[in-house]
Amino acid sequence: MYFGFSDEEKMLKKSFRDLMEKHAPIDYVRKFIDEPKVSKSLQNLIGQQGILGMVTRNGDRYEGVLFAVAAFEEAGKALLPFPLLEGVLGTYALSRDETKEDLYAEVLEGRQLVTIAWHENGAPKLYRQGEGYAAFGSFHGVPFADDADRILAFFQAQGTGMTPSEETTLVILDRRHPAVSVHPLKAMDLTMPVYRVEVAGYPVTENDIILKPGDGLGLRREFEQLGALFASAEMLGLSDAVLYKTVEYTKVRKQFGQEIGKFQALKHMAADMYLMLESSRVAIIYAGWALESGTEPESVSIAKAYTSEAAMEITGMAIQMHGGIGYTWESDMHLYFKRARRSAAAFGDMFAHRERVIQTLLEKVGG
Amino acid sequence: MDLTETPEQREYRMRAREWLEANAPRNWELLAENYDEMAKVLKEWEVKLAQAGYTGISVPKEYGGQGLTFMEEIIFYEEMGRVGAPRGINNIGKNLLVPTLLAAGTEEQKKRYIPKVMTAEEIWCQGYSEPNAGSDLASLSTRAVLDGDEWVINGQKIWTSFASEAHMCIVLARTNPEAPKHKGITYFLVPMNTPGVTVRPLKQMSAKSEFCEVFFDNVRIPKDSYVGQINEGWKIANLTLTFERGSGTLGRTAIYMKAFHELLALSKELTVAATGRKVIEESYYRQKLAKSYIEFAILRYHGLNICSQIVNNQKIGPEASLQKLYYSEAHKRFGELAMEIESEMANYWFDSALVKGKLQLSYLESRADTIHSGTSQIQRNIIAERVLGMPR
Repeated sequence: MYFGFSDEEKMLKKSFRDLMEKHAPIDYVRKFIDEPKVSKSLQNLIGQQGILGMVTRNGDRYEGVLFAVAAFEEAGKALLPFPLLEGVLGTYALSRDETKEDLYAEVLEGRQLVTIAWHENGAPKLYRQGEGYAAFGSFHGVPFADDADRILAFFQAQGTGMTPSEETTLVILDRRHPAVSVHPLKAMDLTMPVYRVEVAGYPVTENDIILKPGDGLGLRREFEQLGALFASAEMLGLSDAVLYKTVEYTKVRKQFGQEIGKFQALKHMAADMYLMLESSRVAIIYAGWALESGTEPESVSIAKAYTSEAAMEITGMAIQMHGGIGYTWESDMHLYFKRARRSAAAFGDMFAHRERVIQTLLEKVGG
Repeated sequence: MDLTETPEQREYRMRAREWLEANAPRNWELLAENYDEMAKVLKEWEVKLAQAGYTGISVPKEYGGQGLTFMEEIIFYEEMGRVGAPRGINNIGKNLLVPTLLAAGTEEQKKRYIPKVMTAEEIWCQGYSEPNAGSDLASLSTRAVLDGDEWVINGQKIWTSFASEAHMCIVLARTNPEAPKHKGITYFLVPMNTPGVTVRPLKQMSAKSEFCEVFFDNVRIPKDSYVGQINEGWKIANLTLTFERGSGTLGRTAIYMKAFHELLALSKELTVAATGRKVIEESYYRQKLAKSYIEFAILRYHGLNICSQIVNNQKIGPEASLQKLYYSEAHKRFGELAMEIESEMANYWFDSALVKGKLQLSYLESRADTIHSGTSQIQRNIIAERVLGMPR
């Protein structure tokens, strides 16, 4: 019996942390916020680590989930401004389709940047056009769309299924095609620039579809499941960073003639933050194990529901413990606070995941 | 990560489950109002456990234990929680005294005391807290003075569970009043039938009365009745404290999960007066039930994590405070939710109440959880100072 990361997973975690500390320290994040452009060299370095291709599918189990969890935790700690989640899921989707080997290799190695169009405005559709389709649709909340080379988006391929969801099809769009336009949206979380993407008559061939038309629903569910876990791992990482930064601050900041860390009111806040942090940690590791073992899929909802609330609490308490300085733009606290807010709602918010947990429970007990 | 059970562990679990289902006392907690009856049931249960080989599961055979591993012990406690069996009347003997002697006792002490815990012949109680030494336990004022070949103990202990039934008591007493408070305490083993020991039961808000006050009035015990070194009792007491805080988590989770499922079943029956819908159909309650289940599920993961640390011989440090803080606060919230769901029915108690008043008991007892073995506030201090390194 062993609970926790294996030695190999710990090694990868360490090397990813080293990469973050060296190439994506907080100064880098600050610079990115002023000029949101993904650095090509960082993109290549992440590619070289092989992290994008960590997750694969083997029957009803995933492999490499805990490796990815370890990396996402470190990315969260660093507030990494990079479409890592989209890169891992995009690479995973490409790995499911043998005909996409070339693109898979390019994305995996960091030569092409991929993102995913998470939110549809209305119902994007593929209409039959000659041998292929014409794609029409509008999306919002597409991370890093301006820098991306490829955008993965779900469309309904008309006439391929009995219901709209059966027609779900995952399409690879070339961001630079004239039928694709990208419009920046203003967002609170400045570490992840988001865009509205309009697709107007994009010509889709067989080559641009992952698996087959109508095969997208399974991929979408996998994206949501893995996405919920990886977003949780990112929140774990940022909560970890914020707690220890805050504790350090309470050791240097003095009021009433002493370090504020001596005040029990602050100690108890820090202890509660630690409790939420470590509880998030065991929930996430357990859920990663469950996905790798093909068991207890609801454990992802357990992790996401808990971690979402915990990360928002922890980052909020961190601002409070910093006092006035924590409310300034200059303090980094708001960066963590805003990113936690965004991740907490992504891939199902607390409400959605709690509802899923209770549904699963009621099914189990027969009600 | 490896959480799969070996076939042997699985078989052990199945055998334990079968035995427990056939032998565990049912509805024992409803005897809360009748102390004598409850003590009798628990004593009989303790003997049954011992005879069936379910006492001292991981204690070496040479001291009368089963000589199995910590894993079997955890499995058994988990199964006990699942059927709602009581842990017995000798928890202090089994979970406090025995691990302490194994770690710090002399060979003679091990041979003298451990086997009698294994056979349930000697019941132990714990004389730690005092009326003026609760959270600040190290300030305890019970004195022990050496007089020739005997220690003479004077003082008062409180919250001593089942002292009326106990044969022996672990007593922390001050042996050097000049030294700093943590450095003048010795860990004594005192027979309860020694002249000068008197016990007075204390009724709790849960209606149970296993708690007692114990008075020591010129109690004379032999010179060698202590564990470890003189004046190093604080260290000895702390040896098993973290173990106690950490190792019971999986068993406890099973108990809470059982109560949770009772509440879930009730939520399908009860109607919400304001809307006419069932509790389980109301999103408000669904969310709260899910939240409670999630907290208990995560408690189980914490339990697995700490077991893994014990099994793989890693040290459990002050992180054990996390488990104590987590489970007690989660239990408290669960009790509150159960009462909220029962609404006006929540006021009924025992056989007038829903589910025979089990949820009322859980609700009331949860108020003790956040106080005993170090209050939630003390646990937060430990986490802040010893885990996070915040200044004292």
